[in-house]
Amino acid sequence: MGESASSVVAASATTRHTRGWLWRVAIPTVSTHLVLIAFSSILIMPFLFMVSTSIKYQDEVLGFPPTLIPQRINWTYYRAIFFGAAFADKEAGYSSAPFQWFWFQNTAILVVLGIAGTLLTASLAGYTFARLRFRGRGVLFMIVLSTLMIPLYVTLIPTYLIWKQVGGLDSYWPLVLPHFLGGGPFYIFLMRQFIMTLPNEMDDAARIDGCGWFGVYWRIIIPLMKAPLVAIAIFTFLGTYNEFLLPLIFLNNELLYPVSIGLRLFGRPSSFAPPVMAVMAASTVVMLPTAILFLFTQRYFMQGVVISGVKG
Amino acid sequence: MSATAMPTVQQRGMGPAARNEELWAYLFLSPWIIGFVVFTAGAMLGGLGLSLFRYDLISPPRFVGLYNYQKMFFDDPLFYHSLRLTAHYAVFSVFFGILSGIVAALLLNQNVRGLTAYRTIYYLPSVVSAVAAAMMWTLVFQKNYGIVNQTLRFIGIEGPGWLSTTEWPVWTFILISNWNIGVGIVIYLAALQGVPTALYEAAMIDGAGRWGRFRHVTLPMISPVIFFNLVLGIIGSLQVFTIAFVISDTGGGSVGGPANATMFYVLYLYQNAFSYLEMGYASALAFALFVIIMLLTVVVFALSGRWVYYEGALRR
Repeated sequence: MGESASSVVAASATTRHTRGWLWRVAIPTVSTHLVLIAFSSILIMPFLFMVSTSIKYQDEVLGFPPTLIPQRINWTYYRAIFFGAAFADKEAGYSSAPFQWFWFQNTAILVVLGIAGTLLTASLAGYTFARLRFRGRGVLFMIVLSTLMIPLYVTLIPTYLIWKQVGGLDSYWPLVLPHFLGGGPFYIFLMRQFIMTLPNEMDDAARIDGCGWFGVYWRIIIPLMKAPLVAIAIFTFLGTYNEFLLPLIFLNNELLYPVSIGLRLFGRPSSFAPPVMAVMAASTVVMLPTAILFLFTQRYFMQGVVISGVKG
Repeated sequence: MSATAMPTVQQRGMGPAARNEELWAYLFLSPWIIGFVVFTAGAMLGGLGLSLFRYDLISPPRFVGLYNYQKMFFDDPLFYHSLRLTAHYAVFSVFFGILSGIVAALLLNQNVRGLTAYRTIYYLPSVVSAVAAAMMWTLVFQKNYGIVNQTLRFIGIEGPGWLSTTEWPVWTFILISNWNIGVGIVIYLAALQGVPTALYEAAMIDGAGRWGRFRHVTLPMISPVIFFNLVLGIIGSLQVFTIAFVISDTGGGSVGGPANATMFYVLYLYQNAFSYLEMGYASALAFALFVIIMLLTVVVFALSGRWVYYEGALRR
């Protein structure tokens, strides 16, 4: 009896506690998650639909109601892409442009050169602004900052004409050289901000020990800059991999096409276009490298974004 | 720092060490200086000069004075059309982008479990290839078998031609732009986490509710970051190109369709330069874009004093 009475008291106490917990913790938490999951599904759904379409048969793509998980899986298009086959329609008598793996090779060349140039020249410029004293430092740094706001399109046409004049069209020079000329004001700014946060003592000690200005940069500063350098390398990777306008303008020779331009050639709607499933398969393949890179290097992404956004 | 290299006593006369330091500085900066002189300052001046010419790459440039500007302002309805379309896109995409970015960041900032997973998903759209994404959107918004209209059909609504009509595409592009809010979310989240808890405690003691705390603590504290995203958002959205170019390219050699419904400003600029080979006119369009962006930036900066709160700004 006494036992049951105490259990009733305990039960009512639990209920009271539960009610508060329900309103104060459970419902807000669950509803927050519901909204976040809704956001996530909206963002992720196009990807799922793309992948699902890439492994469907045509009748299922066109059929109603829509399916997210294909009833029959069709690897034809991935196989065709893997072997670089063109999609031919014998009745209509045409064939599409094949998916070329050398596009990735070309992009890799551009990415490696882009990263090398940006890391070297942006960090050197950032170091100079942060550590060296020279006349015009303030003015030059103001110029760096102000060029942040100049739209690419303002310099695009003259830049095109310059390269045309020196015979640089259909080469990688116009795409690579800018990376070796400071790599863009943003990265110079980022580097300077980082180096400013490093203490001076080690530089001074190295200077007293007879280290030159380049020696300080190379032996003291660079080893301390791993995180921002990795972040800049990743951003340059992304920027170069996804770059579209510049290769579109400067490259006509299909053998030089990077992935972005190649995919557009492959999927371009025309009477020679491959079926939509093949275009989705190709898009999936093209999206994978940066998505995977992102998944494995998130930490650096977030750091880079936060530094650029909050401190900038 | 370089107290040894630059004695403060004799500021005027430069010692050999200081001169040496200066030499090295200019050497280290030379890549950027060359780039700036040739490809930024030189190119801008060149572009400004070119806007006074007609030049089709084949025959030599012909000086036409202000003709290109006259044509732009008085003779070219497509200039105004593309400008209006781009402004429409910019206003809505920036507004909704900031709004949904802040909402998502506020939700994520409540110590939710799985924060990393959510953040990964929200950020993912911002890293994938724009061309591949454009291909994907072409399918997603396809009138007949795209997932959007298929789903709408499922609940009995016949969806519009998202990309194939003349009135819908700009809204479709605004929707698509909101897919890239990941960068904004991460920045807002970092800003929210930087708001000192002491401020919230003080506000609670003063009797501020949830909304009061948001309105009078959170919002002012993250306003510099909102401002930063606003400026970048405006500049970026005025230059929307790749996705519009790829989606509107239906193979006929012209872009910006159907019936110029996706003829955004820089698409029009591109077309003038590289399809019509009107290098002079395209340069005039480019210079106009530059002026527009500068003016907008100045206006936004001027107005920012009213609503952006910089901690410690008064102490100066």
